[in-house]
Amino acid sequence: MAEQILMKGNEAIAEAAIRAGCRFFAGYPITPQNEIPEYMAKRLFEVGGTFIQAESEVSAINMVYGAAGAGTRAMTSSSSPGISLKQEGISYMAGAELPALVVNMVRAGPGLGGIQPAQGDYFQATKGGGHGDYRLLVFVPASVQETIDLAGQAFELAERYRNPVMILGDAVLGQMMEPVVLPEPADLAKIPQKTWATTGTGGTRRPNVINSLYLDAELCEKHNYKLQEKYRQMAEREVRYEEIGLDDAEIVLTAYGTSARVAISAMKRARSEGIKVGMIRPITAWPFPYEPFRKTSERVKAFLDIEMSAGQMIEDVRLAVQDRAPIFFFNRMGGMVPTPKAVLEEIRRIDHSVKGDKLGGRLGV
Amino acid sequence: MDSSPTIEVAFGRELEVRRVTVLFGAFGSGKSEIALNLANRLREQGQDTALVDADYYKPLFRSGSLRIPLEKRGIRVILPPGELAGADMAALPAEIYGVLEGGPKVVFDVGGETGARVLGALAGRFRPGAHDALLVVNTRRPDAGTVEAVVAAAQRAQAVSRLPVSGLVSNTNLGPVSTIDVAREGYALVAEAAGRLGVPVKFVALDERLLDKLSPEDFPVPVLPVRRFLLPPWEQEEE
Repeated sequence: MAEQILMKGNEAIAEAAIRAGCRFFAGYPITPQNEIPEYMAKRLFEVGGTFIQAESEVSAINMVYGAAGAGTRAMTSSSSPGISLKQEGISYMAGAELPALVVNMVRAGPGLGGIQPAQGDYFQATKGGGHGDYRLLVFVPASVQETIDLAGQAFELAERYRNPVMILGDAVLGQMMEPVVLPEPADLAKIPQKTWATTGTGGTRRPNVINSLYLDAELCEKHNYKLQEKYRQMAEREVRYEEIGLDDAEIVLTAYGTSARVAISAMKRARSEGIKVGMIRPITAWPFPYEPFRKTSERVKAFLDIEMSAGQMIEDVRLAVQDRAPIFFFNRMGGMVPTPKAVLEEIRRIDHSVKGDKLGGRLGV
Repeated sequence: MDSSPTIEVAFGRELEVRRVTVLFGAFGSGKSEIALNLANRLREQGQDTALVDADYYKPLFRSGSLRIPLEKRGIRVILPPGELAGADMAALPAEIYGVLEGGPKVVFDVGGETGARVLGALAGRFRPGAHDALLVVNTRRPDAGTVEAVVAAAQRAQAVSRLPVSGLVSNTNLGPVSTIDVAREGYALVAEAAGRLGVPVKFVALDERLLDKLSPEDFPVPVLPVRRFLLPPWEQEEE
């Protein structure tokens, strides 16, 4: 096994991206993700890549559009307010079918909010933060190692579908340190050729054009149908999630990222008290793993969704569970993180109410 | 109050702690945990102690986030006032100038790499012979795994802070999966870097959970046992 080292989430994403062949980064500083551009500024130079500290988030995402159009593995990162600024560019990239990695280390909102961890950008990431009918493949890792693994795959998937991929983390994930093993650097020569990229015709072919403008409505509709077919394939093939202790579970927790780590800690404590708790942890927020919820909703007594938001992912949980089981909700907002103890207390309360039968399906959200 | 020039660390050994100890080094090298442990140990051994959290770079896992429990133990915590304590901007509280003049033992926690630039604003306030500027090194962090990398980090720290490195701290660890062997392998590298820089390895910082596996012959320098205070939310025992 390769040597273990201790890495922060932010630098791990940067290193994993470089090892996956990322050779272009443009960004603008914002806490809590500054270690990503700082690391990129140092390391991209060493591997012959290009780092640009742009004059704004808007220019950064458009530089990524350009680099991706030229066939380079390109990336940008920011945190919530900065990601809002990038939305126009992200929509343009989805429209022009450009692959890239966009990292959002979410902080509290709305507005400038605060620099502490939050999960209030789930809607923006999964339901289309920019205009038009488009989707991003959205990864929601819960550990530094998982962040590395997903960042490593992000470019390959972005290129396979010719679509931007987002890693949706948060301030805790970006700042915490965990022991990790890094993958070997990808062989750049083995990255599939991009026949669509604007790399110069050499006088041998017609120019490639990268564009998201379709003035003819019929053509624009045709383009939209093509995109939708691609998203349908992504939804079919790219769903990822982790199931923990579902076999005998009566109460199923669900949470992603930092909330998932808190939930796992609470689940272990509840299990030691004899409460049968399991968990479904989405690893992709889009496509959302509806199926494991649908399946388990037939036999479990309740779901408990835990988020660092006012309740965003819970809408997807409701779509999956419908009225087959009550869905409870526990949250913190504004940069506060739920404690395992508070989640445990919520689990105990739900356990009492589902065992007291008469409350049955009327409880919950 | 005791103002002994030393504190007792592992195996009853004495560790010299000057009136002001500045901890700098790459981000994630372990400065904040070491600052917290050093301040706690000074206080436990009856010394008048102040902790300066001047790491304005990171939003989380900051030593100053433990202000309330530290103050309960009698440690003075110096942070920017009010909401600014959690801000990502360098707002140096005036108290810093006071404690650098004289008074308590001061442990000074600064941000990684460019974060040490705040020290530049204080250049000239550190009295020769009365302070230590210690570079904290974890060789299991990116860009710290070779002697050359450690020497370069020391040179960068000196350049941005305008404070010459007076010693190194070997803090090589892998967090929850660390071992004495990992710490020893790191120490060997740090000692070689210290030799090239012409400064001593002041001490080894070691996870207290490894103490029962430690023998006095493992390290030729004092060993400061380190308890982890800055835990992720899911490992915290409660407000």
